[in-house]
Amino acid sequence: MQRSIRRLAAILLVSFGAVALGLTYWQAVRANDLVYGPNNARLIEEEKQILRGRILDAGGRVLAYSERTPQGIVRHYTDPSTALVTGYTSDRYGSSGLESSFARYLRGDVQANPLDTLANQALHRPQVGADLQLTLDSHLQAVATQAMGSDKGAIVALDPRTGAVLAMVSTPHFDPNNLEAQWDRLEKDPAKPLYNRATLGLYTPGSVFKIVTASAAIDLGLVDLDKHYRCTDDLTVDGFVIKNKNHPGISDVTFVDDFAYSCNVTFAKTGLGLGFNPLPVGDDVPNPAPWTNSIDESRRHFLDYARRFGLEAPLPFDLPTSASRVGSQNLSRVELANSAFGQGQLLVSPLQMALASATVANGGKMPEPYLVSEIRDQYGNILQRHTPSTVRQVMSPESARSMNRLMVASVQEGYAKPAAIPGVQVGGKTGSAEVAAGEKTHSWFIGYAPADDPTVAVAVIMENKGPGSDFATPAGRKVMEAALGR
Amino acid sequence: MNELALPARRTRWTELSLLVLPILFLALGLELLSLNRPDLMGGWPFREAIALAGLLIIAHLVLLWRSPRADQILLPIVAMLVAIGLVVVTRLSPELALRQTVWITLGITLMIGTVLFLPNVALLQSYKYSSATLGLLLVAATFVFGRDPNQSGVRSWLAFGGINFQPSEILKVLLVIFLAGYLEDKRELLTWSSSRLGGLRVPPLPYLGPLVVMWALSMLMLVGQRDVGAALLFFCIFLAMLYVASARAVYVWGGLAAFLVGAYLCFLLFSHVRLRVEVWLDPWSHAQTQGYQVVQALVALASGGILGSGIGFGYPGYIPAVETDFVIAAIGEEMGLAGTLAVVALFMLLVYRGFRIALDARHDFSTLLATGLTTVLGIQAFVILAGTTKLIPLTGITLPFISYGGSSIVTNFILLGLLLRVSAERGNDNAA
Repeated sequence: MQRSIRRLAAILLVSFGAVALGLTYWQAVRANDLVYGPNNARLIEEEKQILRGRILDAGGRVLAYSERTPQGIVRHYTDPSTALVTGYTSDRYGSSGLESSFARYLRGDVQANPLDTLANQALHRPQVGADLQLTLDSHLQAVATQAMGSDKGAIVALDPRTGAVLAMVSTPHFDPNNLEAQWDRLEKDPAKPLYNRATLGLYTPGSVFKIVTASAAIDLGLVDLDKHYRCTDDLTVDGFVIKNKNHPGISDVTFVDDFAYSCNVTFAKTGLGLGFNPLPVGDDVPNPAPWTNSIDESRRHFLDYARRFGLEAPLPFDLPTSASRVGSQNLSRVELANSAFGQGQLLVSPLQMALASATVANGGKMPEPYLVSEIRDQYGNILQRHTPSTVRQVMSPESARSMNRLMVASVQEGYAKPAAIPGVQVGGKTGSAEVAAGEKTHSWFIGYAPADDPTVAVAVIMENKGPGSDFATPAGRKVMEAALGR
Repeated sequence: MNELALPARRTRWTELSLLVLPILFLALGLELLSLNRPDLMGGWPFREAIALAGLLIIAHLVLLWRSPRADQILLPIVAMLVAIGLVVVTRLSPELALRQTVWITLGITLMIGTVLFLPNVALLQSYKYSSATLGLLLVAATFVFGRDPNQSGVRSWLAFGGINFQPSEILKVLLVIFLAGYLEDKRELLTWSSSRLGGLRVPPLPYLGPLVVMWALSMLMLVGQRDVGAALLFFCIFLAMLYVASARAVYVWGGLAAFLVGAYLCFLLFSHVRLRVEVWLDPWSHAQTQGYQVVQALVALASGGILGSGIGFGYPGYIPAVETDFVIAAIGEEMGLAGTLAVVALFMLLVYRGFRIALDARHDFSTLLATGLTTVLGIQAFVILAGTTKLIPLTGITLPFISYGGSSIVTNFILLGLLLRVSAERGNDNAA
């Protein structure tokens, strides 16, 4: 019996050894696979225990905060007009906006001292996220939201000196409070209220894009702004007719007038003529025109300046952005002519156009846009502070001064007159982008003020609203007035 | 009896000093729980620790008085398992913890009773057929009056005035007593005389008759009631004791062959068996249905990692039957690999001491009894631990001394009392 008892004991002890190995396998070797696998509901539970940080506007007003309630932690949003900036966060539907792009900070995954993270885990302290201090001004946001009224579209206002975004409106917006109850309706809504038009929307720019074409011509040194020429004829490019219709009864013009009155013929010629010096504009362009042989050089310059202004690449920003685009990189003559005055295949985001305006306002330097100026943990330690920087020098400061002359003229005597603010010099450009036959044009405005030392630059778009001068331009004025404290 | 002839040992310091550990563990564990989760553990956390300390000291004193030579390691090991179990059950469900405390009190009382009122283990040998009959009656009663209070699909419970009792638990002990008695009687026959069948030496078939009947009956009732865990346990006890009594591996091989054939037949005949095997091989494909329990248990173990989330900080609520069959997953989640390996080590120690007692026992009957009782504890712990870790197909069964469950706790303490009695009557005077 002794021998068989010893054997039995050995078998049982070896079996327990196997159990120990099995436990080690699941708890050490395979632990990560299982913990981060699809069957672990704990991750959601732990997520629910996190007290996310607050989101504050420039003046310290709380836009989003989390609160412990007997039913668990609830996230509140105080200003639904900022919903597309703050975004939402939901156990079921994920997150968007800053809630998504700054999740690591808001959740508290980033601590001032990495050892704190370990200590907090070891001591099971509830995870408290860091606060985001924004550049957004609630008051300006409210003015901009009101200026949009019930129209679909977007407004972006920023400080051209730093790139700080002062207001970012996308309408229609949604209420991120109690999102779960509204989700199905929001997602099915054809007006797409969950979609941030300001950064992700892509629109035909129409005449506001002339700022890019004009900058190219001026920066290339092709234009004498004081030179007078006649501009009355229509332009035919490879059979495509561009009507000369915008001048209000004047025929003797300068390049400044053509910008102020948004002359498509002159800008088509400018686009086609970017490879030629001097710029072949006016009725006395020789026949056949210089661009008849080759537009290679003109196309190259046009695409070059479009890229310098930030097209063809996503903009560096705190929220996801859509890359604005020219369309084909091998533009035909007709396409180049159309693109030069903002039609063709061009698609731009409102943020892109606000930056174009800010570039002119900022002496030709494109500021890097940002929303989050500072990130502070619950104890007030600064985890990150934004240092304003420049994306690139788009054009020379002299060219920017010339562009400023064009933009100011546009407001003083051109179509952007509704943007004028008494006692302040304003620069601006309107746009009425043709989208489809039978539909109203997109109403665009870009501008900045005060023109001699700009502190605010805006872009406004109202979808299918009508002429830029009538709708987007007054809205832009209201935003600039509010930003200047008037 | 013969104890009087031997020099009396009047101290059990080893046991007394080792008993400090489980008391300390229980006190600190519950204190920690009340700090971490005041919602779960209100009131004064040391009540249970003091109660257990009191019970253990009484048990210690009774052993000192009546069985001073009994094994001194056994009680501390079991006390530690009980302390771990009580902390985990309190964390899982404070209401169950109160009832578990009552069951532990009853269990230790019955263990003390066993030590007090069973002066000579050999007496049990004369009751082998009585215990077999009692066992069969319990089985029959379960068939007739069986209830299924927790909708597990197994009608293996009997109700006595509002208290549900699982007869298969006490059946284990009755079966071991019967087998030990019967095998001791027929041991020589089983070992030495063998008939020849063809060229093979085979055991004397007539003497195996009662054993086979006993086995077949228990298997039938358990398979009939779908209580696979208990059936597997009974079969293993039967095989182990037969092997020890006869010292013939042929029984083990024969039994294993019979088991495999039976298992294969079940696999072919019953769809629920097929499904169980399928879930065992690949629980992930059934993660939301039949494999849910296993998958959640494994995820709980994994999320505990090496050191665990800390008591009260895990989410063991995701695992169905976590306070009974899957208690090791809750331990793994909140106490980590450190905790689960400690539990395994305790069971290894318990099994080691049990077989040591069997080897040192004075009579063959006591040897067989201790072997059987130890095997019950060992196999039962192995079946559920290995099932939870996916080493073998899962069968629902409690983890001795740790899982919540009155029948299990009470029976295992009686079993422990028997083991202590056997060790007190050891043949050679090894210092424990």
